[in-house]
Amino acid sequence: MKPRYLSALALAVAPTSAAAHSFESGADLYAQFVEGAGVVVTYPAVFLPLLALGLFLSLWHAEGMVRAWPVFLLGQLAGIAVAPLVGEWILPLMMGTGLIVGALAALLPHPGRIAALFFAGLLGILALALGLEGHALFELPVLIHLGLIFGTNATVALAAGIARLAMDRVPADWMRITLRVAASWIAAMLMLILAFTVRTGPGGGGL
Amino acid sequence: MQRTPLHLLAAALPLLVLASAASAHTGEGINTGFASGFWHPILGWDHVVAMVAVGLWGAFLGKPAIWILPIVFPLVMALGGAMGVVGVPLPAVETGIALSGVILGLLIAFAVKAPIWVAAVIVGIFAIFHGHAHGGELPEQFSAYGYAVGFVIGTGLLHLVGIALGFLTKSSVGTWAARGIGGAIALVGAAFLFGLA
Repeated sequence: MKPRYLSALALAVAPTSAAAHSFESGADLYAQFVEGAGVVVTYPAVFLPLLALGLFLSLWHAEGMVRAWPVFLLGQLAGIAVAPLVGEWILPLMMGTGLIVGALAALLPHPGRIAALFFAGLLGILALALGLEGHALFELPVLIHLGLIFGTNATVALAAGIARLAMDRVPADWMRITLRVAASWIAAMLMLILAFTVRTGPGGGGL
Repeated sequence: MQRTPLHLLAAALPLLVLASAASAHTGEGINTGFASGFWHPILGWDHVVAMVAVGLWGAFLGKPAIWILPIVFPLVMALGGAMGVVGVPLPAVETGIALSGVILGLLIAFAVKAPIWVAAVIVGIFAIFHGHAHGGELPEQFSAYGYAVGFVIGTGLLHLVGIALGFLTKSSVGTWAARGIGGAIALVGAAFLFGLA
């Protein structure tokens, strides 16, 4: 790897205050909630890893989302707690974790319980820590926090629910393989975006 | 006046030569990035034939290869793409891409049934070359997110085309047709390999 890319990588993981996007919804409570939820669905570094997690959980077990939900929620609480401490290095870490989850969902015929619970907890931490961008608890309105938590859980639940519904309605091998192909595509997208982030630094490429 | 094709062509000709602003690669944002990534693999014949060949060869290999290869290929291709994005050098990229068409086309034409791990290695090696070429050409003015999503979906759809063509192998006539397509793919790859295309 060329030295300048090593430098870029070092910058990407350097502990600086994260400020990729700011919250600007003001006093409108509904707008605050929507803005919090919107961070998840409009921010690919959060959205794609959560989609991968949803697929992983349903490929692990039909009730995978329900079984992993307590760990996922605990992870989110931990993520809120550590959010003030994170820097821009959280962005490549989130994408890298999502990449691993997507790749494992694609490549493992039957994902294991420990991996499912581990990644549910880890992505819960990372999603909230990244979404809150270095903001301390109660520094932002409560409804932004709630919107962020709602968006995080809804994204994973939706991905897991669609995957489970698909496998329930069409219990054929090819449907499971189709979901693994989808996980493979998500992992491939994350790998490309992660590489671009390393090259340009966080905030580049429309991230 | 009767409108013959010649009249229509004559009427259209001035429109073709009118100067207008080129807008192929001037935009920003996710839509333009997506379009750029989506069309990138589809508009290059050397890429198209190889992607279709991956799906089509899977049909000859049978289960589980027909599904495993489209799972492995995007991941390895993205690895190659990441190498291209960050500037890791890879020699003879274009040669590797052209060679992929030749080799995969011949494997189809001769209905070669390789073990799954051999097939995965062959496809994986070629995926690195294809990914590197795309990653190295990622336009900086576009959304990397949109480009990556479009690129992966475009490539995946080409695989699906190959898998769909693989259903021809359900009949003996169709099998020969599929093998003929493999031969055509090899010829296209050879044309790129020897600089004829």
